[in-house]
This record gives sequence, C-alpha cells and structure tokens, in this order.
Amino acid sequence: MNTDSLASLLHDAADDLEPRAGFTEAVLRGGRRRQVRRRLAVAVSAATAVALLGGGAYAVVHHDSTEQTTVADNPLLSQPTKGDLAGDQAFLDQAVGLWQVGLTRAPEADRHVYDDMRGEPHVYWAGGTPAGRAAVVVQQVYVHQNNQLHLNAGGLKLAAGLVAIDPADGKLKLVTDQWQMDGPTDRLGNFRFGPGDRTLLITTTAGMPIFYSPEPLLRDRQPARDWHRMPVRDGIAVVELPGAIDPNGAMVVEQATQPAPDYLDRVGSIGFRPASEYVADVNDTTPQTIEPPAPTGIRWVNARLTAGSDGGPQFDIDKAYLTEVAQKLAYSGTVGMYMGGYYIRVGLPDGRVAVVSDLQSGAHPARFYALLVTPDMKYEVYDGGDVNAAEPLPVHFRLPDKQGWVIAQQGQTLQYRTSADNAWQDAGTDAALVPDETVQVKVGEQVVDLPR
Amino acid sequence: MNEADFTDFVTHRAPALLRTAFLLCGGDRGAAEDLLQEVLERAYPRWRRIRDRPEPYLRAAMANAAANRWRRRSRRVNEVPLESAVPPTGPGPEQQVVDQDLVVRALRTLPPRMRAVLVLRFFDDMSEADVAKALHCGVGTVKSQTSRGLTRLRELLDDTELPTTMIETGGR
Repeated sequence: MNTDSLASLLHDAADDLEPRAGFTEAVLRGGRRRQVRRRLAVAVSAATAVALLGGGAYAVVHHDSTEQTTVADNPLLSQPTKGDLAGDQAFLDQAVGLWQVGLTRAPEADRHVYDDMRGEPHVYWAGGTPAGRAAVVVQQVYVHQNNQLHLNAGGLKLAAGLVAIDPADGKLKLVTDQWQMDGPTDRLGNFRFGPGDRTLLITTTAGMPIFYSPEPLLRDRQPARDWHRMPVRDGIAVVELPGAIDPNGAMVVEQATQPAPDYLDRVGSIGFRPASEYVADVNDTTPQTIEPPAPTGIRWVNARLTAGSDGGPQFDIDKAYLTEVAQKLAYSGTVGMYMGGYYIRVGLPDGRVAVVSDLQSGAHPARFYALLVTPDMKYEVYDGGDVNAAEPLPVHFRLPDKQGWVIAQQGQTLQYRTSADNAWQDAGTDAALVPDETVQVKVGEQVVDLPR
Repeated sequence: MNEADFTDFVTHRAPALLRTAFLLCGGDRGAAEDLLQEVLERAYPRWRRIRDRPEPYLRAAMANAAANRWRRRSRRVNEVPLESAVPPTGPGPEQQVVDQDLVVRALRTLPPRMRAVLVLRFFDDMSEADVAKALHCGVGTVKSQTSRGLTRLRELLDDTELPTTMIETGGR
C-alpha cells in the first residue's frame, strides 16, 4: 500500500456515505436555536455590564487587553468541599496539585483551552469510590477563541476534572478533564474510571434524579433496558458496573421520571470518556479501550438472499429500517458495531417476513438474530446464538411457531430431508426456508445434521 | 444571514463533509453525523463571515472537534455500513473491502490529531501547509505526524509495501 492506494482506500471506504434523511433540516433547526442562544448571551452580557456599574457581585479581569467578566461568587467554586474526604486537607492539597500538573499535559492544553486559568482551583468533592479515593476539582478558565476550537467556543468557562487512581500504575493523577463548551451547566462532569473503566461518577447540582442502565437486553422479543436510580449524596452519584458486562453498554440519563424499558436512544444521555482512553491520549499511546474487536460474523458482502414463500402479503423492508432495528439491538456504545454485510429475507407461510442476519456489538462476538416483521412493520426479535462462520452451513436458524429453518451458505446448492430415510429435496442455492421437521441439509456434497 | 444560501450549501456539500467526518471519527458513522451536524449548526450564525470559503473552515473545525469526540461518542451507536461491514475471507475482488475495513479500523486506533493529519492529507488532498493551518500547528508537526501515522498504519496493517521513503520524509 502506498500513499496513493491509501487515498484510494479511504475514498472507497467513505465515498458512498450520504447523510441521513432530514439532515439538512436538523442542521437548520439547530443553527436557529444556537443563533437565538447567542443573541440571548449578548443580552445577558449587556445586563452584566449594568450590574458592574451598580457594584454587583462581579469583577472585571483584564487579560491581553481583552475585558472579561468573571463571576466572583460562583457557589460551585466557593462552597465547602463535599464528600467523606472533605476534611482530609492533605488529600485536597494533593488533588489540587495533580489538577494543576495534569492540565499542563491535558489534550485540551494542546488547543490552548487552559492557557488562561482564572482564580484558584477548588475541590468540589472528595471521597471514596469503588475505585479508590477520588476528587472533583473545578476552576474557572477564560478560553480564547482560536481556530482549533468550535466556533463560538471562547469565553469564561468552568473546567472540571477528576483526580483518581489510574489502575495502570496505581497512582493518583488527573484522569479526565472537561470544560463547558456551551455555557452554564448544572453538571460539573461525568466520569468513567477505575479498573476496567467500570466506575461511573456523575456530579449533579440540579437535584434531578439520575438513572443508569448497565447494558441493553432482549426481553419479550424486544430490545430493552433495566433502569436503576442512582443514589445521590453530596451532589455526587457513583456506581460500579458489574465486571461481567461491557461497560461501554451502560447508559445514564438525568430526568425527572424513571425511564421506560424501551428507552434506548442514547441521544440526550450522559456521555463519558473512559479514563483509560484519556490517559492514553495524554501519554500519546494507542487508546486500547477503543480498539474494536475483530469481526466474527459471516463475511458475505452485499448479499441480499431471499427464501421462502412468494405468496402472502409482500412488503418492503429497506436498509434504513433494518439499520434502525439493529441499532436498537446493539445500543452498546463505543467499541464498534458490525452489522452483517448480508441479510436473508424470508417470506413465511403465515404472511410475516423474517429477516436473518448477524450483529456484533461492543466486545461480544457476533450473534444471529431474526426479525419477524408483520405487514404493519411491527417486529419481534429472536436470538440465534453465536455465529460460527467456518461451519459448512453457517446459517441454520430455526424460526419460532414452526415456521421452519432458514438455512444458507453463499454459492452452494442446498438440499434437505425430514428424515434420514427420505429422499433429498432440492432447496435451491444460497439460502432457503425448509420445513420445521428438517433433520439434515446437504450443502454441496456435505451432509449437515441440524441441531434438535 | 442568508438562510437559503446556507441551506443550499448544506444540501450539496454535506455528503462530502460527512465522508471526511466519518474518517476523522475512525469509521464511527453516528459520531460523524453528530460531529458534522454540530459544526454546521455552529457555522449557521456565522455564515455571513465564512460563506466565501466555508469548506476549509469547516474541515478545520471538524478535524479539531474530532479530537474532542468523546463529547459526542455516546450519542449514537457506532455503525459500520451494512454493505461493507464485514470483510470476506478469501482473495478476489472482495479484497478491496477487506482493505477498506482494515484501514478504517486502523485509523480508529490512531490518536485523533494524527488521524486528522492523515485524513486531511490523503483523503482531502490538502497540502502540508494547509493542514498545518487547519490544525493550528507547524508544517514540521504535520510532517512528523504524517510520518508517525503512516508508520503506525503500516504496523497495524502489517504492510511492508508502504514506501520507506514516504515514511522517512517526516521530521520537524
């Protein structure tokens, strides 16, 4: 591979992409909202100037000949430290020192975000967590706009960071920093840290309940999540995710009411940056946490196989629909999702349509799934177990309700029989729907016993 | 603000920008759409000031924002497009799909800034000087990041054919 072929590969990988339907409209809506907020911010600035003239609780700070305003009595910066280690002054001092050292090496420092720190650092919270001692440190920063930042990113902001033990070396250090990009917020930060990045720590000052869901589930044939309310103490919610699950699949929301089991969409949920990834970024090493697992699904590319009845209701199931369903199935987060590069569309005797493919999400190996879709596009999901792509008959999915077996092997002739004494019945090539009573399938010349 | 002008630009240029965003996000399509949407939304109030040459500005904004992608990454599941999700096993015309998939996965493992340099240089065909301007760094840094990035890609792809001369052109 030379650089020309690298360019060619990059184009081949990306050139077919198109924005989702309605993308332009979404941009316009968002742009208009931001313009309104921007105008409001200008109005607030004018009001602040009036307050200054009246001797309000504001101070003017001069820096680089730029007049800037800083809120002198921000309670987040001045209230007593919370947490069960609030009285441990040595730890608080250590946390402040590590914050200051950490900021000099923070990835955002490269973008000059932390060039102009204001006031003194303040430990907002210090306490014990399942991952050991930790402290949330906050400080004001004046971010000077530069072309490495989002448009409109400059201004007086609040920066926050978590000082915690890095499990890689057992040392306390700054393991994540964050700064407000869009004005005031009632959260100082959301952190995922500790062994396996399994400890979640969310700050909240709004008193709004916080709920978390450890992982996506399949329940009653539908994608679902169990939601648990996180206990909040001293403005901090902490939970350690079980070691057996993929922490990237966890989801956290802050809202007034308990989320329903079908609350799956991550838009609007609380985001986290794994501390191990942050530390890797600081050290300029490959962030292992985002290394996607190797694909284990069936490697058929662009295969659209059909099988089963041509009769009964015919309705289209397009890629967008499948993608939407697969995303609901796989909402597990950050280390990749491989949707099968193929699917098998099967017309069923009862008028439904089955779609069989495989899906690999998070750190889990690929699994078969079947959607049973009714003409009004309602679906049920059935799990078909782990994929073994090397088997002579890689797809042998027994559908529910005695609708039969979906069998497939690309490029091979298929035959079946319902008892070892019966004659072989032709099932075409590539994919077929065969009777529920089928016991053996012949793939080319190789006989495969179906599991019963 | 000429909204019709902005709308026309987004309608016609969003696909090309999305492709850059896709690679900047290491093949995470959901994050790429989020990234592009956010950058375009932020450009909306400033359109009058950037409308003469919006693309270099927006590509630079995306490249820099991609380094901050964690803020968006949880919003949508990562997705590999249905068509090219999983590479085939055997040689033949599908091998190109294998390479595409591998190169995107390899890109994902690079530090965001290094990835941005490679994407802007070899996908958007920007000069070293333009990349340096976009990323607010020196040309020497672009050279060294290019060199190190190509070296890492070669290691990740186990590709002995990546020309040594190209790798050795870096340096501050």
